[in-house]
Amino acid sequence: MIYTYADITRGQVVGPLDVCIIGSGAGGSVMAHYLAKAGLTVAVLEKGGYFPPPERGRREVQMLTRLEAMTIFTPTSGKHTRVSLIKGECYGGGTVASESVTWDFPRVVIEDWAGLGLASFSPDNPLLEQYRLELRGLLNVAPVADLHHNPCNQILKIGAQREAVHWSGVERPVRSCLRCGNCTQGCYYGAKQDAAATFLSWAQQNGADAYCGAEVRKIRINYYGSNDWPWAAKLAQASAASRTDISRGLSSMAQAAQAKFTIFADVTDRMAAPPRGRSPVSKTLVVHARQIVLAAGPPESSRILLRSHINPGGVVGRKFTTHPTSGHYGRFAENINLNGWDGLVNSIEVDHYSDMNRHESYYDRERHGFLLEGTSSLPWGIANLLPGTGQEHLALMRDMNHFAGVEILLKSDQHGTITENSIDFDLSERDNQAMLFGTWLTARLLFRAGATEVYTGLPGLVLTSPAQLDSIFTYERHGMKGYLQPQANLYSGHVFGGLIMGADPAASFAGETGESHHVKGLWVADGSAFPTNVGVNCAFSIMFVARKIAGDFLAHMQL
Amino acid sequence: MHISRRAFIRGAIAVTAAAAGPWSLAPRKAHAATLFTPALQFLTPGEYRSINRMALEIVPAAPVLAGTVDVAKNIDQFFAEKNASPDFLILLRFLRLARLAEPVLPFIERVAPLVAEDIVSLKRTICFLGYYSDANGEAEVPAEERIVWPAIGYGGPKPAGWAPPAAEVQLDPALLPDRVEQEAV
Repeated sequence: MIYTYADITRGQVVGPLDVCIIGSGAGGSVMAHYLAKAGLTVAVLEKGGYFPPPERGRREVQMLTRLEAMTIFTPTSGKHTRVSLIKGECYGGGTVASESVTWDFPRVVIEDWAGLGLASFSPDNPLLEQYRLELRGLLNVAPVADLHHNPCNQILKIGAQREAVHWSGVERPVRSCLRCGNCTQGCYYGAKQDAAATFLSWAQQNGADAYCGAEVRKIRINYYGSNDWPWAAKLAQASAASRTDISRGLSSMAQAAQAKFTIFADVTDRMAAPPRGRSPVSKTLVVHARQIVLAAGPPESSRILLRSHINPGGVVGRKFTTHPTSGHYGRFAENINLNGWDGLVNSIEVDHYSDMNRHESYYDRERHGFLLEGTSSLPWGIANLLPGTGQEHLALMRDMNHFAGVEILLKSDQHGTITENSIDFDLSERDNQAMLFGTWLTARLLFRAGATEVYTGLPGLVLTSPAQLDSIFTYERHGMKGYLQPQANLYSGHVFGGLIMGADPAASFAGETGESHHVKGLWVADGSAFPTNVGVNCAFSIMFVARKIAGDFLAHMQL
Repeated sequence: MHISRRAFIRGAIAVTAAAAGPWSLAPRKAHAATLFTPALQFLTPGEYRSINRMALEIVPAAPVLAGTVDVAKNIDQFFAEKNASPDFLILLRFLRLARLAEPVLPFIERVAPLVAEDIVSLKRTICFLGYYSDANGEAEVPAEERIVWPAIGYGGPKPAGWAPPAAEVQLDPALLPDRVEQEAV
């Protein structure tokens, strides 16, 4: 059952349950499905509201305020980099508000993770292939038909064909898609196989409950095991007599508590406009649970622990990373109507320079590591991406149907830190070089397809001829090179890290099963757990890792 | 860039007044219509006037200049009726920053050009919200009554009963010259 503000009483207590899952997106939904299916009692807490298909779609900003977190307005802050983060915040999370482009979890990333000591992510583990096929089947993942690429995406295809770089049509999890162009406003037609339509729905059929509008304020650990932080270290240092006393104390705490964890959430009405002049009225919801799965997505999963003063060894919030993305537009002649806001927004990708091609002879680490995606947006989004003000900007907007968008999605090699109020993150020099090369390639492909002008993602750089392409590599502004400037207008819907899996408890939050090294019963199953980024659209990767964690959870849990 | 003493004093007074104003959003209340402002549900009359002044600079389209499209009123209605996210009110903080900076923007442009760019960016975000996005109310009216979207070739949300074509329009590559090849780059 789905509970919202109207359905619960002030101070309502739920539980004790087997599992409380915080977050209902790609990771939380998969966990909810598999754990409920195994017969566990499950509650899912979702900060955002519940918006079924008839309440979705079609309206750009109205849906932004319903389906997405406003992290878009609070970008990462670094010395020379600012990335606006796009993050789902509704029942179904980012899967509801995404374009639903699906890539398998890349094999090179599996190899990387195995190399980091996560042995069960070895390419030799047969379960991984089983999970991949299982998820693809459940989500009905299929390629977009060739006749269904809109003109905007065809431009990228034509440019790539003429340049002889590898491109492909994307795969999507849909059933009878109408190609209305409003994927990022949530699917009005219920065709997209997002988390709400699939895993969460199936979890409910198996008895899981979901609480929407429930923002987790704090987690309280009611008792600790002798191997839990911070008692494990205290026990190791204690004398034999003290050790016995401490162990006895811990045991008595465990016997007295209803469950190991208590979660406190504020539930607000996410259907209504916020009131004027005061904070929205909230009701406190208290959930007792034997196990917790953190799946609120980075940065929120980390911040919940930081707010709760659960930060073993100072590892929480570390190793944040993302796919910084830069938008570029090519302008075409007046007889070329592209209508980028109609049809599938993103259906062609150029993966020639992706990190997945690491084994190719032409691979150059300094330049590889990005995808190009055909893209467009709705009027407000496009207006914000195009440069200038006044008559100059009005003229660009009047010509919007002759613009084709391409975005560069970079697999950054940098890491940052999540704190309660900010995310510190900067591009590396290699990132900058790869992004500049991506810009060069993007502009070249657009000129290959006949663009008259290219508005690059580099602030102020407009190219009118392919002869100007090399100026991209030397572009400087106010003494800042290329993308190493906060005004570079980078954004990303793919965020990772903060509670990473790793072999070393001193440097990572969780082991390869997703369970915390330091507090048993505390699990992480969203992008926060990723020790690296993946270099491709990541919803399926998060579901895939969550599927593996669900399997490990059921094998290792101690209720 | 030269700033006259008069302009500086006027700017300083305006900044002080804006800074002394309430930072908290708490005292917000509805405002009755006056000679110069319509009835407002969310914005203050000062914010209303500021947004429309910015709109003349950021989106000086004919409907804005003629007052046919009231950018600030659109934003006011959106906040009061359509917005479902308390966090979206961060736009009001942006507005406050933009208003604070407005009188001294020429000075900021001279000493910190990137900060000035950021301020212009905030103004763009706010004005575009009230002009181009569905906050302009055009999603709720029949296509023939729309003003902004037809001017940019946007058809708006698909109507009820809409069905997609069997295939998307296929571009003719012959109409798309390969400029890299043509210009031998």
